[in-house]
Amino acid sequence: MRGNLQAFFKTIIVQMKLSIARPMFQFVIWISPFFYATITYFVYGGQSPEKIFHYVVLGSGFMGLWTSIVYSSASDINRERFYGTLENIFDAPVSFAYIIMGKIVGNTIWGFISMLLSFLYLRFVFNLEYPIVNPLLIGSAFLVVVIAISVFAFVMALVFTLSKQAEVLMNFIEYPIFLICGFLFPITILPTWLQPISAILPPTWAIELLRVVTNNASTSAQIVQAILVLIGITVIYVVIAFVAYGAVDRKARMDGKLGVY
Amino acid sequence: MSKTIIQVDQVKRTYEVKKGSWKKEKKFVEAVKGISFDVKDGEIFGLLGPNGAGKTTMIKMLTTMLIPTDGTIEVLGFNPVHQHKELRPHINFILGGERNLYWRLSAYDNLAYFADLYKIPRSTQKERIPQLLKLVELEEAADRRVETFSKGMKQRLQIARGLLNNPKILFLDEPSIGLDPVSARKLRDILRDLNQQGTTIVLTTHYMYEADELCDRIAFINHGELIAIDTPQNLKQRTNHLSVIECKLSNSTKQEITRLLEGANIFDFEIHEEQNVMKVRIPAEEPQKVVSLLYNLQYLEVQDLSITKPSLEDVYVTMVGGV
Repeated sequence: MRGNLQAFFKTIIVQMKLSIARPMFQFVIWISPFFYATITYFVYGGQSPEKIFHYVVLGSGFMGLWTSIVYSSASDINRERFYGTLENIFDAPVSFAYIIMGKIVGNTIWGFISMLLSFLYLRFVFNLEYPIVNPLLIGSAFLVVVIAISVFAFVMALVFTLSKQAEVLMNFIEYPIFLICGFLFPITILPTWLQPISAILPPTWAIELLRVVTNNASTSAQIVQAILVLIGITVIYVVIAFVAYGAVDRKARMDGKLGVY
Repeated sequence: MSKTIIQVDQVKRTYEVKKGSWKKEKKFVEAVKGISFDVKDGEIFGLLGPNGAGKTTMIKMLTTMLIPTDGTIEVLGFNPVHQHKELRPHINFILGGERNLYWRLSAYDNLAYFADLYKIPRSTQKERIPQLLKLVELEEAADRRVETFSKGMKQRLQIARGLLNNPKILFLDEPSIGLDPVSARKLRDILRDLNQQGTTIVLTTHYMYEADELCDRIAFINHGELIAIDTPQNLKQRTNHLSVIECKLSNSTKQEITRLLEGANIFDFEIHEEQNVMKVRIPAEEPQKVVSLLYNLQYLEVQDLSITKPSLEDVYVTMVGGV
């Protein structure tokens, strides 16, 4: 266990170093949040401060976070394939699950830095008002959000471990999630047939939780409900991840294509 | 007698291949067709064969990367299919080429990361990483990014990576591919030293000289089947009835020499052109007869003629190449 945790924390550091060494990732972290924030600000310019906070600040911040998450789970697995290191890390004594989680957490930290930049930019450049919230409550909510998003990214990473077309899939899922999970608008305005898909995706409930805890009008019952829903869906994804991990581990060794780029 | 630490019994491996872009058709390719062999503790064991013979597939099955379709494998008493978690800490592998490293990290950071993936305590890492960097003569370049390294340096760093967990068995798949002669010799020296310190080595290579110099035993594999397995000396004795005539022929072209030799009923030969001189190599059961034929051929000037015993390459070509 100690060895696995040592490798997990080292993977976070190595992943952060490797990611930020790439110009494209630097753009994703340092530059794209400003574009997301500016565009969403002008779209929601005339709305109430509360709506602006929920859809401009949280929405654009979440877009940056999601982009970096997608890069960690899909693109980085494909990049390991390209480096020729996927076989090395897959066949190391440390469980591959710890390595994937380390990568996801490493990129999630960058994602939160990007989100923070977006918050600061909107606060000081556009003078947006931010609600005063209980630090313990918002801290706990962020923790649940990080876990939920990481578990979801883990499941995606398992799929991408088996697929050589991971980069194509990554591009395919980046923007639809912005839309389906309601980063920039309430999912209730989506067509009814699409809403069940939104409901089974953790990012939908993650951003919803942040909106609830930053809304001064939310009741305790609403906050507890939002937390429980996100925890519930995360537990379902943990079960999926657990079952899928065993299957992927065996299938990767059956197919023998981890080294094929 | 050393104990057996790798036991391969009737192992088969089939790959599924999809053909066609629109209507996909499944095909099955048998890469390994029921191979059996064993490797003894402390041996350097070579797997030799042409491209696509099944060598890499075999290495991947031995190192838990691939599950065999049929047959059984035991490595250090563990079944790599079901006991991969128990086996992995005791072995390591190096796949040839420049990949398998993080180019944007330094040599030291690469080793430190892989050391963590092998659950090596940090206190041990602090001693072992500098030792390994010294062993592969990269201590001066420890803090340089791998992307600035030459191919030979990357190969040597891979060796260091492969030794991080002090493996009982080190698997190498074409470790010297693309290396210059000096780097290849350095690599052989490192492998020989490791073996003397007790590491069992299983390697694949295309270089017969390397296999002959390093390996205690060699297995020839072709089309997924085991052709022969023995010591290099014993393998060479299998063609002991043959001698190899080597000479230089001047005043003639490759085509003319081919025509003249075939006219004299000599059909098994190799010709290499070197600075306007043709180097000819002819395996023969009765070398004296061939030599007198050569001297009697008109227009040909024979120089530096020698008669030697077959090399491992001759054995390989005879057995695998079907000459």
